[in-house]
Amino acid sequence: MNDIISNLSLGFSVAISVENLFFCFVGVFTGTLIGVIPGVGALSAVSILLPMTFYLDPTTALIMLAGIYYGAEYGGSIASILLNLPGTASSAVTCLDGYPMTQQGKAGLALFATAIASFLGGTVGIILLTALAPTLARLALAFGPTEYTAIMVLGLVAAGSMTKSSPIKGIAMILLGLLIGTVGTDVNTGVTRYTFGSLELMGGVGLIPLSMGLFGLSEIVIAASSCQPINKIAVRIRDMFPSRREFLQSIKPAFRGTAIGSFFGTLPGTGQTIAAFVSYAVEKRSSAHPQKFGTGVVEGVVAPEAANSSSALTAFIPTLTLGVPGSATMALMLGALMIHGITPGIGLVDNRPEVFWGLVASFWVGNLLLLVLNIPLISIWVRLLQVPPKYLYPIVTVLICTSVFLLNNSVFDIATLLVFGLIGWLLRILSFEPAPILIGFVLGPLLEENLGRALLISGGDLSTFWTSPISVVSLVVSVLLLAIPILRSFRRTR
Amino acid sequence: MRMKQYAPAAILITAGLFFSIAGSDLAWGSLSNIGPGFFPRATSATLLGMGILTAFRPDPVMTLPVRKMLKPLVLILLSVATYGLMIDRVGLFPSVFVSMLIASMSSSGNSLVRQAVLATVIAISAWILFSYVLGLPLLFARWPL
Repeated sequence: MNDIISNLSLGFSVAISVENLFFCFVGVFTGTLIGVIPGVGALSAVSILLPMTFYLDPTTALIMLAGIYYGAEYGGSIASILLNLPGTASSAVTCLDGYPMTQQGKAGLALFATAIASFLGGTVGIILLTALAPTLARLALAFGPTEYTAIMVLGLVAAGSMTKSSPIKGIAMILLGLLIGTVGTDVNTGVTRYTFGSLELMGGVGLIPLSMGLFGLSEIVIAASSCQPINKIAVRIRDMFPSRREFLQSIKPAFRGTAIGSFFGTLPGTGQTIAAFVSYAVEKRSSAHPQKFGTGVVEGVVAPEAANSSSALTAFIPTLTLGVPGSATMALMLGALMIHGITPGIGLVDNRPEVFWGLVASFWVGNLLLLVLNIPLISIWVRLLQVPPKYLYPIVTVLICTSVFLLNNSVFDIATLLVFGLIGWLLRILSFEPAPILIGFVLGPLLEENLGRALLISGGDLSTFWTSPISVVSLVVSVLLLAIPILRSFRRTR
Repeated sequence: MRMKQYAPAAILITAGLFFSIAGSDLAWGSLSNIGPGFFPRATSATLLGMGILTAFRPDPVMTLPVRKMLKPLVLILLSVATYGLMIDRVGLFPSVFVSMLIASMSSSGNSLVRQAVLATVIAISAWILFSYVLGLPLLFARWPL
């Protein structure tokens, strides 16, 4: 217990310095600014703003990232609740009841409930993170390459099979990500792969141009082609507060959502999407009036938002201790950590406690700042939403270009952006979800390295994967995750 | 319509074949000491398999208005390409200005004057943000040599 308090106070002493608070504020503000743009989801917003943090010192950069993350998520919720334009799969769940609430003139309440539920989920999430992360990080010490390989396979399979589209397509996207991750110089042998003689590709495909192309650029193309004039929506602060009845109605769903989110967040590979969907389904099933779900009930907004937020924080447990991200956004954060020279794992908790706990604390501070900033500022965001998209999309396009170029002052990065923008668009129109590509891309090199090491140690004996209990459990769960939806989808077509 | 149903399978098969063929000269190695080709070639073969599996059960492709998207697609990609071609030759201001004008043509009903004003404002603010606030070495404008 004392440990937890001293860890958190170390974290807060880092997060609450004036400089860090300022950058956290900038992060929340700009994150919301980009996230609120219709059609631009939180993932794109984070990848667009990520390069801005590269010029800061790592701790401050991570704190700003935490702010960006929360801002972008909340901005995405504003757009999805008011316009029914979900930027991410997890906010698609919020749309189910959030948009009907807007149509009934209860947009303010929906947005308020979102912010409060997300704060509650985040607060519980951070307590769990503080309590569990050191233990799990120590447990991770017992992990050899065999266990790592198996748990990464589990993470990848879970991320691929839990997408909106068919599990086969999700897994295919993971594989594509793994392959893109192999481009460049092989760390084990020094052999270059898939570089076609290009010097720039020897270092591999850049994370930022890749994610900005796959998400940012392709989202803009799709959003720009479905530009519609946006109806005037007015949200006043005094419309935001719930009535006593609505408040009482939302307490239990908020806590249930938080519990469900925390559970799924701690599992490697299962991110916010699954947590949000499951909590919505649970609310609907346990409700006294399930038929009202989808028509604008506040529980339908509160539960998935609380789940979303608590799973985001608890997802840091596998991301930071094992290095296995639960969602594409976490994969991006993991990539950002590595760019800042921070390797996840036990070393992070023990050797860089100020970074680890500072990051944990700043996630909570980011959440709090979001609450105090965005509720009073809600009318500004709503007004921004009504800026005609024809002005917004060109601005975002050049913003993407400029931040990609400035990473390395490299025109090649712009070319990479262009190629992945086209690929992202193509995949989207063929109803593939590009998010798993990012998870595969980030985990691929780690998976290959650990697989090689595991086989080397065992002398090429594959039975090493079923003599370790951690590995057996992970692989069996992976096979089940793969088999169940595939068998079910085959049965459905017959 | 039938062709469209097989497009997802086709794209996976193409990607699988591409990585298989381009990686065919990478050494497999042995199980106890995997070579640089082991992981990519095994992965691309699996991807190829997934593509073939998808071809057997084509799912209904969502009906996004693909034709309506071609104009924004071409213009936004063109705007990015223009930016890439201009940025290290002529500097930030002209690159941002021109690529914003191109990107703004992707949605109809824009007055050119208004877009040009907006492009100027954004180009200047981008320069202030990146050059002054973030302190990056950036060229404002240069007459091409």
